[in-house]
Amino acid sequence: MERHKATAYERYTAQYARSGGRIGTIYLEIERVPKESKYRTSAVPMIKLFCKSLGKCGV
Amino acid sequence: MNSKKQNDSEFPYLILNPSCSLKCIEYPCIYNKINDNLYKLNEDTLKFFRENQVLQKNSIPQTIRKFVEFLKQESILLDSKTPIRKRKFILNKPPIPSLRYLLIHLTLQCNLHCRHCYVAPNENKFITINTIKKIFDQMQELQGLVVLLSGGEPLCHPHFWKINEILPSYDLRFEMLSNGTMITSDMAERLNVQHVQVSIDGMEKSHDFLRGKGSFRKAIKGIENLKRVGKEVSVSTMIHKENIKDFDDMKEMFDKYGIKQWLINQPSAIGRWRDNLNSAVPLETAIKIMVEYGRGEGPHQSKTNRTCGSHICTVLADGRIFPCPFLNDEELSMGTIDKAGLRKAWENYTGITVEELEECKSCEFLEQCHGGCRFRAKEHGNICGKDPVLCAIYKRKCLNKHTK
Repeated sequence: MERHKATAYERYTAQYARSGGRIGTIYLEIERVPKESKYRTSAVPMIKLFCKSLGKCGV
Repeated sequence: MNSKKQNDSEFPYLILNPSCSLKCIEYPCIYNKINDNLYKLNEDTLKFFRENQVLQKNSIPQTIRKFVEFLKQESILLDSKTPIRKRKFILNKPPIPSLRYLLIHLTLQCNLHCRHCYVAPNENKFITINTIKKIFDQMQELQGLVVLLSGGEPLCHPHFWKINEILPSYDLRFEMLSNGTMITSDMAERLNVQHVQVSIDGMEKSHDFLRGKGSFRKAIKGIENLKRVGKEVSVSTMIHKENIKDFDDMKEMFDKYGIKQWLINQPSAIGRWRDNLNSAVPLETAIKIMVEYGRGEGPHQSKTNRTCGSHICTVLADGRIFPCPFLNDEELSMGTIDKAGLRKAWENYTGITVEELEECKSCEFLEQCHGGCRFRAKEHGNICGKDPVLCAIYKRKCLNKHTK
């Protein structure tokens, strides 16, 4: 098995028996999707309306 | 016996966390409705989870042990004394872009009469329980992630507690946007939402100026009640003339309550705020406050060519569907829950793409700003025009100051 990267992104190549006893190589990849910063990396505020959407409109 | 062995004999199974569900948005994913974490999976990993919702610890192949360890760290897999019954996940083909978030105005009724409310007037209008169930069913079928229960004051819905009872049966995260004043200790305990956003618009005097006498103390009590039962709470604050000196005190207070997300905005000149614009502050002042005090995270990252609202729409209290609660002119209606339904309404909605923003084409900040808010652009004269607020921000010196 190979672990490519730590932190929130994990990728493995693994031999694993699936249902039915079939053995094959599978590539297990999982990545935590980051959230937009309320204050973008440039620290420019995401000024929103009074829209109460918890900023989910992405503006 | 070492502690790991002891733990393994007491909890011989690893199970898929009941708060996690398999979904399919632009990609296969796992979504945890408790902590709002979203995980992108490849097809093999999706298959792995469809086949393995229960793992017996002593038979986990060596080759996937580290992977399993990661899943445990992220609380995707939990220790268990017994195996669980396999859950069925309906992985429908979703519309692209996916509809991840839905804002619902449960009712227009409210117990307060705030100077800046955009929803005014305070009408006795609400969505029936049957329609609400229909909305939740459709949102789940669409592979949605979060439903924002708003209004009016959601707790003023005449059947709110019946709605509250059905929330746990959905693989959706529910967040309630409330003025906090009605949340008693009992209610806080009964609430089945995962997150509550409470509006605090200053310290006592300035908050009550905007929202009415006595509302500050009740809202703070509401936050205390929620925190006491371990509920996740965020705060939303509107900047106005009376509260601009309060932000240090508010920060101290919110730190004390462990508030991690503090949304600070400026009211828009609609609803009752139109008659109260003498309480508005200059944009420059508002920006400084937002940069200094605002904190927290926004939506899950995504790349689309839409301007705003790539993954969200709104259902109003009369069942009509709109891109957002502000863009609610009849010509922008996406349909109704009863006739079009959520899927059809969302699939037919094309949104406004960055390429359509003629006036912004040559702007050096377009890639970062993405055009901003279409409602503000519309108020400024052209829905495909410039958002004057974002233009002001990006073109002011404060941009350079803060990007260095």
